[in-house]
Amino acid sequence: MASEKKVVFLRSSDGEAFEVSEEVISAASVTIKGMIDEESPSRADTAATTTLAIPNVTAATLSRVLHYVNKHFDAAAVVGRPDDYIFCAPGDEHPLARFDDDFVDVDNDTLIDLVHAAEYLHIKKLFDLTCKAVADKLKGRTIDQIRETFGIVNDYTVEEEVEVYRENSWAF
Amino acid sequence: MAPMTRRSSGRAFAELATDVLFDVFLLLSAKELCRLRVVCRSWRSLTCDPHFIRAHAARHQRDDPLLVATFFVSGPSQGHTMLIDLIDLSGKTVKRVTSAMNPGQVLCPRLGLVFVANNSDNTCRVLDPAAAAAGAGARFSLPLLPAPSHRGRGSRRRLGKAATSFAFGKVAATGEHKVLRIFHRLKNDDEHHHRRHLFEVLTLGGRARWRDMPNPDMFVCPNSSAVVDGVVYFLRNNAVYTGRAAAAALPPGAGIVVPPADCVASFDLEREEWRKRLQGPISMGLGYDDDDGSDDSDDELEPDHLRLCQFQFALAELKGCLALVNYYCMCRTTDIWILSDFERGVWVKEYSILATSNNVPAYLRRPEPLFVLDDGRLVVRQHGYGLAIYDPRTDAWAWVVLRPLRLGPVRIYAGSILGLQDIYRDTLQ
Repeated sequence: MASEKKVVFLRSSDGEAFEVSEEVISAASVTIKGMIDEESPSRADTAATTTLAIPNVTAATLSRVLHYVNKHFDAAAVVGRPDDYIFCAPGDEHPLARFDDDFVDVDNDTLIDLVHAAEYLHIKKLFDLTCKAVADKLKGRTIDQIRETFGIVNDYTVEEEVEVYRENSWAF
Repeated sequence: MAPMTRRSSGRAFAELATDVLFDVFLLLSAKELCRLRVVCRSWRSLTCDPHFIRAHAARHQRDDPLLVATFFVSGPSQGHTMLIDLIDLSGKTVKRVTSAMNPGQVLCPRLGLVFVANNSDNTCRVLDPAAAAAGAGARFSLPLLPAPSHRGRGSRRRLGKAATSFAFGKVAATGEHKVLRIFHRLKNDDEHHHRRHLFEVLTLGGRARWRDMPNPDMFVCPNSSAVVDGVVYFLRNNAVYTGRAAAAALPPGAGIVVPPADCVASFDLEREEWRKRLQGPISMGLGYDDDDGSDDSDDELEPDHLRLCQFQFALAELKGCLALVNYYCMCRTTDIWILSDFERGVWVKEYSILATSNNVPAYLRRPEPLFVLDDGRLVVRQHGYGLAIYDPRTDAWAWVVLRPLRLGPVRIYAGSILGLQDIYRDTLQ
């Protein structure tokens, strides 16, 4: 079937459907590629478009993920070959570096949702990007700031915390 | 995984799945992770998990290493005691491996173990900083009794009085750690065996026994060793080949050819045999022009030109290769040569540090290189002064601030930083 571009619909956990090129999403997401491959025998003879349920990802997150996917994996939409880092001259910034920086410049909840969505959908580049952004948020903050910002309960006793601090005091 | 819903701000991190946190933590430095251990129990147990530590170590091989530093405690009550600390590059103590022990030779060529040998009573111990509770030091002692054929040389007691030197390395193929012990200054031997050395090898673990080894084809300086990749390298023993003692040790007409001062002998710990003698860069004529400036290939420097007053040599491990440190006093230059190809004997001059009277104090003229940072800066030890970082691009020095104790030998610790803090591992799961 070498006709026009095939599309699939992804339905978020809250029921919203998003259209995306089958070729692009298959290149990006191992999970969705697997779903499409499973579906394909049954729809080989029908012209109906496929709708895949993505029960773990909300509409807000899914739309962000698809924005990322279309930027990074749609060969027609980007100039050059941005995925091939090795073709960039040394010192050249990756063409999408700026996009990536802005993409993860979001509040913590949105970022964590993106990490989980990238993990569930198995989009390695997005997972690496969002993990890096989370790691950057941990750097250079005091322990109390980290607990407060990220809502972590200190479950040490006072004595234990003193001991763990003493053990690792060189790192402060 | 439960469906995601909007949450009030500040709850997101608590919901990060452990496997995601695993990947996030892999991106952080060991130092950052040690700090994060204070946040909560689950973060601590994740960063103490051996599986995580292995994954982290594999990913962060190029991070700045820790150093095993020895400090001498002097004071009327302490006598001669030595501390061994793991320190970071800013001079902070990460962990005290052991305290108040007798001074000795400290070895750990890029390994996760610290080997401390006491040259005066021939004992040696292996410390594992990761297993050591603070201040104590898990240790096992190596057997004192020499290899069987070495016991026959005079009474055991006499041999026990000989000086010893040790070298310690890991055989990559088998993962075994081996120790090379050298007896020197043997007291009971006759004239011809005066200053003769005895070599023996021991494999750590189980029922370790010393096995006698042959001597190399030149007299080596027992304390000059550097270990790279399971091979122990030695410099020539100048005391045997030059000076008054040489006449007795090397009678004229005995057909002994004196090797150049920058010759290197090497012992393969895996095969347990000596390799071919390696010629140094200076005697190859690579280092400096002759006085007449000719580069006639027949005009190689004679050994006599390599007089001690002009050249002094030391060995080190640098960037995973053998480095020959050559201090040339006439030019006040320290050159560091890297052995890039043993078989073909190729040396590359990596650093040339000029000690001019303007910018370098006298004590900086003979730095002992420890390792090279990713950006090419060189970390050196200055005997009796401390640690310094030399930047070849700006020819500038920066000092590592250390405590006011006298600094002894410094080595690189190649074990995992994250594996060190395990005192409360059992109780804090």
